[in-house]
Amino acid sequence: MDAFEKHLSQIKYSSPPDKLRERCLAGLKSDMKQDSSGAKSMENIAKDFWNRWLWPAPKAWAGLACIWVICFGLNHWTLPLVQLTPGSYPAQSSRQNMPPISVMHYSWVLDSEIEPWSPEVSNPAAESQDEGIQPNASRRRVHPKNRRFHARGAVTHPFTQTATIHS
Amino acid sequence: MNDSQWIARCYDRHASALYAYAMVMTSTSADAEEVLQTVFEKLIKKPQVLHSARDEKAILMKWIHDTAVDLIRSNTRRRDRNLAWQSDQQVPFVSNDDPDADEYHKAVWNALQELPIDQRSVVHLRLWSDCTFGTIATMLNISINTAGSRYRYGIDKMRQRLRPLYEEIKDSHGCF
Repeated sequence: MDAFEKHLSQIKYSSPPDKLRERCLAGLKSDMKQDSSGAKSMENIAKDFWNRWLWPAPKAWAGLACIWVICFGLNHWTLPLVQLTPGSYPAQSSRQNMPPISVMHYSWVLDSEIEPWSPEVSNPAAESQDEGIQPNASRRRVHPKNRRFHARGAVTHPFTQTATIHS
Repeated sequence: MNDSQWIARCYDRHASALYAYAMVMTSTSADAEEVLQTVFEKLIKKPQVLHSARDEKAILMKWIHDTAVDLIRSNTRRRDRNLAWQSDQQVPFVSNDDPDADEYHKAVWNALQELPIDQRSVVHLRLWSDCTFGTIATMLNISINTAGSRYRYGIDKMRQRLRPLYEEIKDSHGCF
């Protein structure tokens, strides 16, 4: 920086007008009045607190809030289905007058409707071993047949299971 | 210190430099005041932008620059405003009792205003705001070499323009 530049840099600018300070800081007036009185309302304290927390990532917080709202909504809509009582099942012709049914009871009914495994019927490979020559028949893995179901109407009541099993 | 006090302190600390830069950019006191007011309105709305800043003055100067450029671009009567400035001859320098110094200040201001706005802003930031070329380059989004060349072109023009008056004052006062 030569002498000419130094001389230029020593020239001082005048200060801005005093009225300009009031105009520039007009937005702060209400806050500054509160500061001068020394009291700050709880509302402003809470507002400042939330501003400091939320400001760094407002979009992220808004997204999180949306997710919570969606979860709450889904929970609200699915809750009545879970809380159905036996009496509030949809009306069905055959089960309308049934007493409350528990899961244990249902499983017991289903088990009773299935015919127990019969060794004579379910292993035909063992029976046919003596009938003729079958290559590798002894090595063949024998799968038991699936349990046969009773004909409809055979079991009328679960408590009569032993009497109605088809031999 | 809350935001209000901090912004008020910012104004007291930097308003003179910001106002001078706004004057250099816009050439009139009315526009400079408008630019400064706009910048502080922006600061009041988002004070947290400057909370983590290392050099708050540099950021405020950049805001002044951007706001002044926007104002100049948006003002369709720019030419009329320049003509009005030439008739007003508002010199933003501190007035002295010495009439020769006042005359010299007026000539400096006129020479500064005759520079293109890019050179004018760099010359002002370098001479009167004590900014380094690195800071100026960051502030104006230009390279350091560009900032340096703009400064050299600008200061050469001013030297050429002010040489007679400068030599006269130098001889008469025996200083500088």
